[in-house]
Amino acid sequence: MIQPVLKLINLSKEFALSHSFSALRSGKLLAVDKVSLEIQPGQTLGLVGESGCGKSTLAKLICRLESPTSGEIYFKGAPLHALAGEDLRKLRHGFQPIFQDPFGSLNPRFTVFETLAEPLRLFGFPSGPNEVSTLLSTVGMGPELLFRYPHQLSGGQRQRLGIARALAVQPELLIADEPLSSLDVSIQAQVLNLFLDLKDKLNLTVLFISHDLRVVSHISDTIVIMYLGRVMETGPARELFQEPRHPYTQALFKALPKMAPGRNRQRAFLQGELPTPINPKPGCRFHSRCPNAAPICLQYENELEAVSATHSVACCRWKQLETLNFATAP
Amino acid sequence: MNRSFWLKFKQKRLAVLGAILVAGLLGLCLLAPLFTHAGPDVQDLTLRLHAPSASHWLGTDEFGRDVWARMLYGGRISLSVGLVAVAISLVIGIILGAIAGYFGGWVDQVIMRTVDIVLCIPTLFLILMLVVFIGPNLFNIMVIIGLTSWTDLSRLVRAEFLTLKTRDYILAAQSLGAKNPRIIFKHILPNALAPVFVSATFGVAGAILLESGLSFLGLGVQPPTPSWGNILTAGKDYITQAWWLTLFPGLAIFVTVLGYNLLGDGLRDILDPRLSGTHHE
Repeated sequence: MIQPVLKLINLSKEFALSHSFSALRSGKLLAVDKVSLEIQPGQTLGLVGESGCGKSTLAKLICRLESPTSGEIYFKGAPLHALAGEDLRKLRHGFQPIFQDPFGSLNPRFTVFETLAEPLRLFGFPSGPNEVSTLLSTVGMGPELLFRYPHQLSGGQRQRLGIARALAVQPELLIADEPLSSLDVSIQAQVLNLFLDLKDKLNLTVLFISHDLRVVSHISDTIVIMYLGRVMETGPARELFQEPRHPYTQALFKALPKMAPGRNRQRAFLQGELPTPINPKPGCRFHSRCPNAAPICLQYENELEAVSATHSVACCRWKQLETLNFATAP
Repeated sequence: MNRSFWLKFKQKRLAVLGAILVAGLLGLCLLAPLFTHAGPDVQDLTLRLHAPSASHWLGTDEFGRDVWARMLYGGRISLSVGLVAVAISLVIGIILGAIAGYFGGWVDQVIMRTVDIVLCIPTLFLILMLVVFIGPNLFNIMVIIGLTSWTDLSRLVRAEFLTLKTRDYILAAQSLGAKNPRIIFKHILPNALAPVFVSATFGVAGAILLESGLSFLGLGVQPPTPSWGNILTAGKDYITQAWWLTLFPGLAIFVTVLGYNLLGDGLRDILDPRLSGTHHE
């Protein structure tokens, strides 16, 4: 069997909330709760969830910008969770993040050249103007931009520059945390296409985090649905799209706008806000908003159950619930 | 500093005035021999307490020394106390603030509680005590003022580091394997400096005032070396007969402090992105 590029086993991250003067307000925030997943070489895994569900924390854990509370992270077999210091630094060029906000992810006092020369130099690649120009051209930008500052670039250019910086060190795994969501729709398509081109050309493995189901299902091989730090459902993109089993996944698909004039569809399927992840109540994480919640859900901790060889769902009632049929993917 | 900075700066009339005052006083003091032929220590007892005249523009003091010359050479002392003391407090404040803000945790606690302790002690009394112990001379005064005025700067730098270290570009640098010193000095510090420089210009004014106050209490720079503070002090005994002995050094201190404060105010308005969108142009 081929070794997965990324493998997470029961990965958890807990933030201790402490209030300096009173113990009353302290508690634990479970941002990521026992997440397990793996990505095979060359595959794209789409991670979907509402804001606040722990997607970004998961990305930071994988990039080891945060340390996990418990659980294991393997990058091509190397135990990232157990490494620190120089050992970790040597591996870092293998996995690179791409950030959501293309302005915040660039040092405002670094020119394009400095931004791209730094990673090259840090990992001992040649970092002259020629190498940097070549790198810049891989993301479709010309050498005339070399000495511009981030504030002199457009949003799309900045995001391309962020991608170029990540690619500078020739990573195998890209962790893209909502890379499109702060761009205009027209630019989104451009950057997405660039992304897909580069992925094929450089044979990259990608963890693509988004709240946009359509984009994710367009580019992913596998989809993972997260809710309040937990994995709710996971499976091949096609299968998940056609037969979503978890009520939450079904709600997400229902909420997608459809091109169907004249049909008055019920859109507001999910009521209320994401509940607080601080000191979560026992039971299924989703039960407070689930349209199919039953008393048994209060005793259930979301454990993934296999629906098929590749498709798993964390709902105790999935067998009883009628599956929604999505014959035609949008 | 780019072109848009200068364009914005030119629009701030008061900041330009401040810059002119600061630069003018620095120029006068540094080039003192060009503006006076008299030495600051040359006594002529036949000319005691003469009022301002064509030969002695600002009059003479109780030893017949030319006040204009003493003002220029004293300015060198007063301004260098201000600049050197602030340079010392900048170095301490930036290093401690950067370490506290970047590393956080117990390091932050130790440094910030130390700051709290230092802040608890009234600065003037701390300085007076230190001066009494190690003696009042120019070097000691500069070092002592520097060593007691870094607390505000370190808090400011820490606050900047706390916000900047969570920016995505810092995370990007970390995931590229950049080491801590590189992240602190190349990535965070240049972005944190604007408010620090603003605060430092106010600090220069504060240090000059502090030195004048110390001299006034007789614990500053010791005569015969002139400083604006001790010229003022010496003049207070003759305030009823010789107004020029107190007016001019007082005016010099006032103008300097005003100049630095106007400059600092202007720089803050220009550099603070919350007050104007400089970073986005």
